Amino acid sequence: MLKRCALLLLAAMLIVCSLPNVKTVAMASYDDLLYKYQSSEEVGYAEYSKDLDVSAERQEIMFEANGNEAQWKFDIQQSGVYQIGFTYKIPSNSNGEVVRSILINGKVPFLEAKRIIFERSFIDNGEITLDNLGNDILPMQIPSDKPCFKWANGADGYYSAPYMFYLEKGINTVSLSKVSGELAVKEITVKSVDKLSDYKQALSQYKEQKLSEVEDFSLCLQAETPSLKSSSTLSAVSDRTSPRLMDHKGEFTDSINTRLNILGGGRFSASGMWVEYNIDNIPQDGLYRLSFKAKQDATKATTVARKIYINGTLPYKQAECFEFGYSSDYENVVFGDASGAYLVPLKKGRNTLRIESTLTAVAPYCSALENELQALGSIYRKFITVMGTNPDANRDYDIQKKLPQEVKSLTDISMQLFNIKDALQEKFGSSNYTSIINTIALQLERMGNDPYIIPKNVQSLNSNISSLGGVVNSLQETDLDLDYIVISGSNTELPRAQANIIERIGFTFKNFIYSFSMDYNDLSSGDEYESSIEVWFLGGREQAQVLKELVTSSFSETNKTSVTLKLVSVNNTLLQATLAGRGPDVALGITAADVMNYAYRKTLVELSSNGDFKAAAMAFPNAALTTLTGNGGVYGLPQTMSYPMLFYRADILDELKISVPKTWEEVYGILPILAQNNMTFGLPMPATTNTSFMSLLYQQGGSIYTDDLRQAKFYDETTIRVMRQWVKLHSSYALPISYDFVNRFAAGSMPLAIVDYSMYNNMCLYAPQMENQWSFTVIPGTENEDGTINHAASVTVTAAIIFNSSNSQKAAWEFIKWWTSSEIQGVYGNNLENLLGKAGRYATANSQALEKLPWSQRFYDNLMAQREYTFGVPEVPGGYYTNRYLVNAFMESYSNGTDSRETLYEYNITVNEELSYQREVLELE
Amino acid sequence: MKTKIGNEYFLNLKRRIYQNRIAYLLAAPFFLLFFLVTVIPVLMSFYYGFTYYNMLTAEKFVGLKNYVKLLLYDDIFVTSLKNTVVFAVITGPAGYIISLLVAWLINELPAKLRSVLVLVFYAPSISGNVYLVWKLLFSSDSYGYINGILLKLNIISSPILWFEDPQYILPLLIAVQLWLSLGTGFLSFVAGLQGVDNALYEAAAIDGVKNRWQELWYVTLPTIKPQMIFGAVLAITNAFAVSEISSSLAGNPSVQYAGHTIVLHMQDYGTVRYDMGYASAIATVLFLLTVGCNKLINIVLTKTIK
Repeated sequence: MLKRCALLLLAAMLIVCSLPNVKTVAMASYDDLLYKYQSSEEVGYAEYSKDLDVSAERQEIMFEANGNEAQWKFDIQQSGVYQIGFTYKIPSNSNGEVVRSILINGKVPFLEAKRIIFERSFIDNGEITLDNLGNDILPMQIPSDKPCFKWANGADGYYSAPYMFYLEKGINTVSLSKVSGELAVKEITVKSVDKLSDYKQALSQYKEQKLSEVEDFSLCLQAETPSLKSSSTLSAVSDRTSPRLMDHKGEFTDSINTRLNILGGGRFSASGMWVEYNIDNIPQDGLYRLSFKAKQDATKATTVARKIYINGTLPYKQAECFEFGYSSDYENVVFGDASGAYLVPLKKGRNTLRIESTLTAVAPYCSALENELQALGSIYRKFITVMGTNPDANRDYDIQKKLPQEVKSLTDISMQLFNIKDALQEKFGSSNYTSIINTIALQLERMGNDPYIIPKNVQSLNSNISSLGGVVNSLQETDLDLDYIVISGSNTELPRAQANIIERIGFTFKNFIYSFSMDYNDLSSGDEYESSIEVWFLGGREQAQVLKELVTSSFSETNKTSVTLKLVSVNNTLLQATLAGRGPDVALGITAADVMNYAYRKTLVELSSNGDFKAAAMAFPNAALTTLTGNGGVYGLPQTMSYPMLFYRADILDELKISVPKTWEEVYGILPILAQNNMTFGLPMPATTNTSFMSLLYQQGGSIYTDDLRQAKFYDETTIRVMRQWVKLHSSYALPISYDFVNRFAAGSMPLAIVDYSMYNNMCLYAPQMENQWSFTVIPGTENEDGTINHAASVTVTAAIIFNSSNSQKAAWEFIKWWTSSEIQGVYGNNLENLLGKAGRYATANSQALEKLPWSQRFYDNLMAQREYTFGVPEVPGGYYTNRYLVNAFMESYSNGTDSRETLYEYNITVNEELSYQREVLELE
Repeated sequence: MKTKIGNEYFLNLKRRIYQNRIAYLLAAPFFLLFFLVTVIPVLMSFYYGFTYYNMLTAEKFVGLKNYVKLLLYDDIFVTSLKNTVVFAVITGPAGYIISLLVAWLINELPAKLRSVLVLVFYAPSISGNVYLVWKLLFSSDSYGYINGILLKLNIISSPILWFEDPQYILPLLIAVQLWLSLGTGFLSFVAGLQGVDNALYEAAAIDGVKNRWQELWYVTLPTIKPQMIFGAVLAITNAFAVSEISSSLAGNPSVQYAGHTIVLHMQDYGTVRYDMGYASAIATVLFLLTVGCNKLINIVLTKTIK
């Protein structure tokens, strides 16, 4: 009794302590200020710029010295709104996002100005070349070292126009304050806001300037080779759908080899991405036509829009949002409207053309839908606090009295949704998006009119919220494929875009025949050097592709080793091939358990005896190396390492007024609060992983094996205590045994969960709109006697290994050293992400490489903090039995409610027998 | 004397082989392949049963050690044997009878409808891993279909761990296997039933058969006996070879080995523990068990249906 009182007291204290701090007054968002700016007095053309005249290196130093802040003073002649632009350079040694906030006279003018992202721009390092087999090789994508210019604008792409800043007449200070990353600013420009004229006005202006349309001229720009691009993702890709696509040399690509012939392929898809082309040799000043050979098969329901900059500026309003409609094949799309082409002014000599992806066409709908989505999410959570996620349809929950505000807003939201739907329909016509919005609006309308049906509809409301989220995501799709861009005169005819039927049949037939002789899993480049190794890669095709590019560009030549890279899908293949004596020299991506299985059977090369092993292994956490150690040595170099993190929904925790738990005691404190709100806490699923058990065990100073790793320690008091704790969490506290993390976390019914940090990728893929609502931190720990907290977490490792049977072990060792090095792992991770987007974030084992991946600071700091506490469970011969019987012991206690002690004692004998048996047959002594 | 007879016998054999050389030649490709891919592996597996062989290093001869361990000490083998037998006893005959009855019923329908229904019933067993849909239905998540419905109807108060709780695993697996049982055996029954000569029924009617049951028992079943024996062999082999369903639905090993079968036990040793010798010993035992059962069923069927 006393104990329970004490616990209650403790819980109460914890709740009181965990109340959030007093909130600061919310800052106005740009949205709020926009109407004010728009109505403000117009400023005549004015441009001020300050060349800093400081070398880039010096500028960097200035940033550091002045408390990460740099200031410029401007004498403004007239009060009004201005836009601010920067000529900047990002030092090549800096990694991660470069973010600054803009302060006007020492104050951040609006919320968004706190986060101005300075993007890098990229170039192809050389031309597209051919490999020995006749396939195109993509040049490395490297950051451009030339300074670039940008207007301060929004990061989410809705406000793609430059931000407007209100400046009073007189002296104003504009300052940049560091958020993250290194930046060198060369010049800062303050300019009155551009007012774009209509095309017709612009045309008459051109006429006044004596510019006329050119008659005979034609120039073709291959879209896949821009001179500058906003992202290294925007590299040339290969499209085999038509024989009439042109490669970078302007030849039709009906070849059976890989030709990198288009730009896009699903990558030119994020708002704000741009490519820039140099248009050389324009014969005379004049007006030209612009047309694209493009395919937009991303969305039927809406259009995809691009901004067209000529020589750095938008020539007129129509260039701000040029829309591409749906087409299933490549078509000639002329820049213009139904009444004719828009002519663009070009000067004699060199011009630049920039094509930028924009959401202008759909932004109003997206941001409106997002607002409604947020409101709906919070209403849903209020509903489930009253009714639970699975309410009884026949019970009267008295919703109207308990949540009158929410019920009323259902109708409001419904109205809003109907409006959005009508507007969307008017612009783009009916589509599956409008029907989804309609369905939800109807449902909300019914629920608002008749609150008694709310309980029945709560579950479908939840799924509707996620489908609405899906609509927002799909609306933001801006994917476009470009083959080439033609600049032409009025008399020039455009080349035929589509292949005719005979060309098509011939092409398909050729490819079909070729498919018999092509080995799609062989990714070798075919270079010949003195030594050669065969490498098998367990993983996806994209990953292997990226590795291949790296091998070609930075391993083969320097090490004079040719690499035969093969993609293998299943681990079994490796075993069988090794058995048959046809295995590789090196295998990548092998799980730690398999590595040790091979190692104990004496098929792997021991690595720690290499002289430079220490240097190679320095960047790896001990945890990762532990799992690859045994049989008197280390048998692999860690490649990936992942570990659990505590994922939490910051918005919900705020709403519930609880803080993120640091210890298990605090977890116990918040579990009742979660339960009251029909929410739950997620632990790693016991039937599939023992992460929670192992982590708790090591946090409490226990270990699963005896020091000589010969016996299991199930009988140990700590083991028994931890097992009881584990069972109790799932039985007494009823934490779910099995669940779908992304679903529940996104829906809000599981606002806290301990899951592997690679779930970050899943969240980015399935719930990108929630990016700012969640975060992760170190997992709850156990308090030591000295008051420090132990956050130990177990790791999952894959590794690179070398087989004994290899004839070129020296080259193989060089290869895996190269592959797991900080530099290559960093480049690999970044390239992979360029290819796959955030969902391709790579969980490298190399701590120095992790720093090079584009984690934002809040994630990175926590990841590194948790890394300090990671540990690896040694892989002993017969170790699979340990896991198996831990799960069995858990299930037995959980299902039958028996105490764990007897079960663990009994299983200890079984496990030890297996461990000894394996040692005996493997002749390990 | 003896050698002379022997010699004569061999000379005779030689002559006969020579005389029938064309037949031997025609049979050769099959026998060559049969020996290469069936007989030799079986013999090798039989041999490996007496060794310790971890696949990566050379095997060691250990005599009867594997068999002694398997038959006297291996508790899990006993569990898996029990599970397999329960499985075989329930799903073998039940699946067989269901196939036969459904085939008989379908046979009464008009031809077009019949072919549609055959496809419907046969579909589950040809569509690869379609049984994984059961994993979705019986998800242990409280949002799983069955759990969701039961919770909604207030039959249960917390989600049931269908494929993790030992008491549910085996019954569920049996249900899934029965659902899949309308396989190749069923198809052969349908084909056999269509091949029954109508004249036989007329003759039977003249001979005094009064109802459909008598027709079934005295005419139909004896006529399709070859198909029935074929179906029975398939049913038994399938029942003994159950593994994939269990490993993909309940995991390998399942919690407390509740869904462990002999084949899974073999895979556990072969692929997880790299102990091919022991796995071969299990395979040998399973082989003998299946052959014995098939013989038994053959005898029973031949005796009952005349």
